[in-house]
Amino acid sequence: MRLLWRRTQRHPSSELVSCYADGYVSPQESVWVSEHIGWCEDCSKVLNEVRATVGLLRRLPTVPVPRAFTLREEPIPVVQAFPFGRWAMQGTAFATSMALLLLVLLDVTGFASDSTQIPSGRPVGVEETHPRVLSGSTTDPQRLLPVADEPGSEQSNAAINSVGTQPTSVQPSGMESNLAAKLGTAQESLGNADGQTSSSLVERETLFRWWRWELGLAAIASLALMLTMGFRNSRSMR
Amino acid sequence: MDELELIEQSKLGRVDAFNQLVLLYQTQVYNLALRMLSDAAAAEDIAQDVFISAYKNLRTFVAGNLRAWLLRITSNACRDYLRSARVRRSVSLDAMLENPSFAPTDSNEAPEAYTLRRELAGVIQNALSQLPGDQRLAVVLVDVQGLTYEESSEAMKVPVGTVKSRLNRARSALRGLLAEQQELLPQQFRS
Repeated sequence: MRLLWRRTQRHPSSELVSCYADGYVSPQESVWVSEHIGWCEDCSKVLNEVRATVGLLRRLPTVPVPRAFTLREEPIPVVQAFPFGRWAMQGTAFATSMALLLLVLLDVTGFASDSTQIPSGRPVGVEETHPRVLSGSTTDPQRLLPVADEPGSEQSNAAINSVGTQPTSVQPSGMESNLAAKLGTAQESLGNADGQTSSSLVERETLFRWWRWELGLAAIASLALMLTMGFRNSRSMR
Repeated sequence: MDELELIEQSKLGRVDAFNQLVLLYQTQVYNLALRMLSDAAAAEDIAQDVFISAYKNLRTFVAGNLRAWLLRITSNACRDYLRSARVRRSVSLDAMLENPSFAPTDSNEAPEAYTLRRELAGVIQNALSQLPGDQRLAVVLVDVQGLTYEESSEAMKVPVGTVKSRLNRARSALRGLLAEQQELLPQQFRS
């Protein structure tokens, strides 16, 4: 009867026997396994083999180090931990990369300068959108408003007509007003507004706009590179 | 100065404090690399890289078991090395026997005993090198280095249950591999 009962009992898994050999089982499991191996030859054999294998592995000698791995006294720069954790760093790096990619696409396709281009594709200079800024003799910042602010003036209509494709009722954007004000301030500080030719100012403004984009791209690229390097350094810490 | 204080001093950039930690753990780091790679020269390079990397990134170590943290860096470095080298580490028994890491540690040891020990160590290391990397790491940490399951779990960055299953598979595979070379095993280990 007892023999029949034993044959119907399930065997402990090999993983449980392995853990039993190390003593990493619960008290209930320990009682069950120890009772089981008392009569089950197969499981008893497995347990003995596990113990023999572990015994062999423990006989592997601890190899003395060939030399000390101490560091030299020169200070090595310590990497500062990223304050918001690895995932935040990865997210920031990813977002920066996407922003960089978007800016490159905008720059390549010319979409970024569409709002300031005439249909021919030639960039619209300050002279075309703000003719009084360049051709007027005053340096008063109040006089440097876009011509559309004075809808009744002849200069305003002439300027708009010179652009040709821009509607007369279009109000200037805030960016253009700011740009005009900035240029006016620059002219005032230089004190040579009357002496400068309109073409040089157009070139300067175009150059300024181009450099603004390129500097932005360079800054974002640098940030992405720094974050990527920081991510690479932290990989081995995982 | 206790370990926590040494860690804090090291975080402030004191190399001498960090070197005391290096002396505490260099044997374990080197032996783990040696057992994982079966290559003394590569293990030496890995061990040095581990301590340089640990010093540079010590601020990321907030709290916990420094030994497990160092062994985790070591196991990652070994994995990267094996991956980058793309070398199947099937080291022959003869190559293992030539390895200086099995040189006699006791000058009074009898030549016969030394030869047997050397051969046995070579057989075991050869069997270890045939295991998959994750199983090899589990068995080296638990059975060779004597870490607890919890410490091994931290060093491997896997749950304790995964450590148990990998260890079981590794031991089963080792039983089969060692059974093929029973004539080299000591009498008490032959079945």
